Amino acid sequence: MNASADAEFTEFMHGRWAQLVRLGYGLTGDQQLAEDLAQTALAKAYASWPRVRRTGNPDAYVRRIMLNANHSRFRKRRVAERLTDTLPDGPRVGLTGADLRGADPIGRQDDRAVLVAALLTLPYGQRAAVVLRYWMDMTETEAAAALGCSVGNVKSQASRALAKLRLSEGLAEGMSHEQR
Amino acid sequence: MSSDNEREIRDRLGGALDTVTPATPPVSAVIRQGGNIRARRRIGVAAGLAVVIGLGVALPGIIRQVSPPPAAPTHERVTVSPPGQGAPPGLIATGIINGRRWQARLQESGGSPVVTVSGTPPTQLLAGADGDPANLSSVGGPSTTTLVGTVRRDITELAVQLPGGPVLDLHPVAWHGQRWVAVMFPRRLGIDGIAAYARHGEVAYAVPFDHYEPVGWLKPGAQGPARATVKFGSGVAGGQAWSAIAAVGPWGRCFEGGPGRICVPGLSSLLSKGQLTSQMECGPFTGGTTFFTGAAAPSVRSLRLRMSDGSSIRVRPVTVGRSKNFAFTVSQGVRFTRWTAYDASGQQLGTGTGWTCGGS
Repeated sequence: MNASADAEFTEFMHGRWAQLVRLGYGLTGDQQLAEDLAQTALAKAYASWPRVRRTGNPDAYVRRIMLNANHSRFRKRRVAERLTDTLPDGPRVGLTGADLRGADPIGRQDDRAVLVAALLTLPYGQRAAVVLRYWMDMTETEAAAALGCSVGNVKSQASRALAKLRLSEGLAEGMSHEQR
Repeated sequence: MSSDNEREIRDRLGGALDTVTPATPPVSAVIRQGGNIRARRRIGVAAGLAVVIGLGVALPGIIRQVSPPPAAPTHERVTVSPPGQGAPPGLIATGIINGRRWQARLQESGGSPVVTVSGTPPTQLLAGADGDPANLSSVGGPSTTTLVGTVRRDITELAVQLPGGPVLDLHPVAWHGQRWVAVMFPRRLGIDGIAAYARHGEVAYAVPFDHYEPVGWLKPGAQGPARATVKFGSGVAGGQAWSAIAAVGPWGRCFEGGPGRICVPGLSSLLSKGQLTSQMECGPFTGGTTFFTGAAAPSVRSLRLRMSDGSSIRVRPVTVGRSKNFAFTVSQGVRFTRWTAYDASGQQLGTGTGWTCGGS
């Protein structure tokens, strides 16, 4: 690749790195793994950069690679995510929903731990649907394109995910229940 | 679904994920890794540690000038044709193998080309960049291999030499702004070489590794590296002995061992300037172990690899081309936490954090 394309890719990478790592964190709950996923996705984009650039939407391309790579991690290598009731650095006992939404950094870290623990209880498809729809603010159509599935599938995955999250310990407080 | 719930989860996700503070973007590592991806053609699970034996591979540079070598007995009949007029969009090649018709068709999925070849499931092509002069990927079927990819704008034809058989002419077909070719051949037959032609004549040729994987391209008349195999690691994992082999030849270098294969054109260093080690490939291996291959700088005589259970492994990288290579396995439930590199006098050259493999 020539120097100008390299420079363009470098600028692209600098601009997207944080967002991709955060997307990876939402999908995996592990920052190191999130950075690995982002790095892999960007390396693949670099390998095809002239073509990726021509698509006019390199962000969608990189996100798609990242989602595929994460999905492959489950499918091909049979990575087992052990789900536990407690986190190594768990939230404070008696934490309330209001605490979680507080502005203090410790509370925010705890909120992250609780949220990630809840996300990790979701099947891969539901987790990805939640992160794309509610963190990346994608429309159902955009999320469907990113996940390579139908809009209806995204709707049902997100709906099931929200229903499960509503019942998650630690997250339940502060979330509305349609039926009590 | 309650919109309150959606708003709640949206707020919480925003609040939680925004607290993640990523490390500095590893630009040079990404560019190096991306360059390697462009270079290699991954085949999937290696069918054992292949030994590369010269089988009278005819240099494609003289494919058209000399009679084919004494024909190896073969009854395979293979043809390839570009799509005719009125062909559906995305159809890039058709052909016949022993009376059975095949075709290769491209579609777009999420911004990436996906190829569907008769008898194989759709395969996403990630390395679809413009090739120099061609960027070909292998798609494996039950008994066939298909090469599919793009060619540089000035390439008018690829000539594929079958062992003792005819030369198949591939004519590029335009699709989504690039020019594509595809050819299917029986896996047991393989191919001996590929020559790329522009209007003024041959511009490059490739000798595929193991008779089916094109890796690097050579200029007409260039011989490329001599063929050799080098063992760069061995051991026992999960009660099973393993070896890691590098096959050097006109294709470049292919490293095989453990769960897969990685191929790199030429003999250039696999490390950036000042780097002492770099991870190459990894994957799950026998008995729950994880298999790693790595590259080390020429100055590195040995490496001590520390594990999370307090144990350590000492490996001695072996010269392959302009860098050294090594391989090792990590037991189930153990993580590789740190490496330390030493020179020939035993002086420490540097140290760094260990590697992970897909979260393991």
